[in-house]
Order: sequence, then C-alpha cells, then structure tokens
Amino acid sequence: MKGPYIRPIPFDWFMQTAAYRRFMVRELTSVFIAGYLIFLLVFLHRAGQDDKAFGALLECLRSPVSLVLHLLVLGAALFHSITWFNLTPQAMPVRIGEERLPDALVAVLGGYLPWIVVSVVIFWGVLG
Amino acid sequence: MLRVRPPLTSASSHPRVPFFKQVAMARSKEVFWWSLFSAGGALSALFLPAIVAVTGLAVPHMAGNEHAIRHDVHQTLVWWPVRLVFLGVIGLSFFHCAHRMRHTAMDLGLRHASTALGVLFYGGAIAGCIAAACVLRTW
Repeated sequence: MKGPYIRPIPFDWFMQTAAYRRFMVRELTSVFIAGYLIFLLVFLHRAGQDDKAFGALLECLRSPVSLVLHLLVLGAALFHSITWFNLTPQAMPVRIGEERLPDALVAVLGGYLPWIVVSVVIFWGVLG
Repeated sequence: MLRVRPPLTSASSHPRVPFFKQVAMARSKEVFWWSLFSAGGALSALFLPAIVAVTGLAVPHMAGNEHAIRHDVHQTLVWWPVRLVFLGVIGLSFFHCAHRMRHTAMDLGLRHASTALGVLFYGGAIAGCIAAACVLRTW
C-alpha cells in the first residue's frame, strides 16, 4: 500500500456541529451562484437578440417558479457576501505598524462599505 | 475548517524530482487556483446580490415591456468598461464556485479524485469564461 494513511471520516461529518453545518451551507451557496451565473449569460444573450426571444425569457421570469428560485439565489448570495466580508479580515489581517486593526473595522471598510456603494450604483443605474 | 490559506497538498511521489520541489510545485498550482477563488469570491460578494435582485425581481416585476428593457440593457452594456466588469465578475465567480465545489466534494469523501475533480470543475469554469466572453463580445 502506497501513500499516507488517511483516517476514514463519516460521510455526514458536517452534521455533527452547528459550525460544520454553517460551513457546509456556505460552501453550497456556490452551487446556487454557479447556476445563476449560467442564467445570467442566457439573460445577456437573449437581450442581445430580438424582442421576441427576450419577451419569451421575460415570460419565464414572471412565473412563480422563477420567483422562488431567484429568492433562493438571493439568499445564497447574501449569505456568501456576509460570510465573505466577515472572514476576509481573519484571512488577511491589516496591520498599521505593530497594531492589528480590529476585524470589524476592516470588514466594514474593506467589505460592507464597498458592497453598499456597488449595490447603490447598480440600483441607481437600473432604476434611475 | 476555514479555508483561508492555500493548503499544502500532498505531492505525488516521483523519483526524479526531489520531494521539496514536488511540494513547491503542488503548492504553486494550488496558489494559482486559490488566487482565482479569492478574487471571484470578493467580486461575487460585492456585485451578485444587487445583480440578482435586478434581473430576477426588478426587471420582470417592475419594469415595462420587453422592448424598453432590452433598450435599457443595451444602454448599459454599450459602454465597453461595463462589459469588461461583467466579464470579470462572471468569469472569476465561475472559478470561485468551481474551487468551492471541488473542495466540498473532496471533503465529502472524494479526496482521492482531486485531479479528476479539478479537471471537471476548473474546466467548467474555463468554459464559462469563454461563454461569457462570447456573449459580451458580440454586443
């Protein structure tokens, strides 16, 4: 037998603690986001075609199934954003001299504030 | 548990390459994919909630008919820097998702298939980037 010994781990290890479950939910947001990215490409492609093709897509978008799916994706995207901004200061601590800036401050300045700015610009560009 | 740093993956044992070089090679490959994961994670965190809300909720339920919406989409994307931002957000987010799915599959017991998973998911992300470039190029 070659290679290092790998200790067998039960398949449902992530159900053991709340922290593991949150970790798994965070990882699974990527499935929803990847699915949405494919939809976004279809949306942009159809918008580049004629009114008929785009109108058919809009009909689909107005269905309740689409609404539920988009709310799920929105929830996944929000969960990803919040966990990402909270994790970034732990992964990349910011230091000024010897002092380490508080994680909450770095999360706000490097995450939440730019997030609000970008979101406002997008909504303003669409609705304004 | 927190995937904040590129992991030191076990290098395959090849007799002609010294062990420390194998480790360095495996590590540099991981760093490359990890940097794409990191950039995509940041861009999707910043941009995607608003974009999802616009395309999924605002556009179908608030705005006017298909002609008016298409006109608005054209007005937005006709400026090439906007298309470049879209390409960056979509392409790097694909790599972010691919990295997470690959590592989640490995955590769920497919660690021995990490190379095959890498080909599958990173290959898919590359295909997604090409598709995004095609969609945004012919505007």
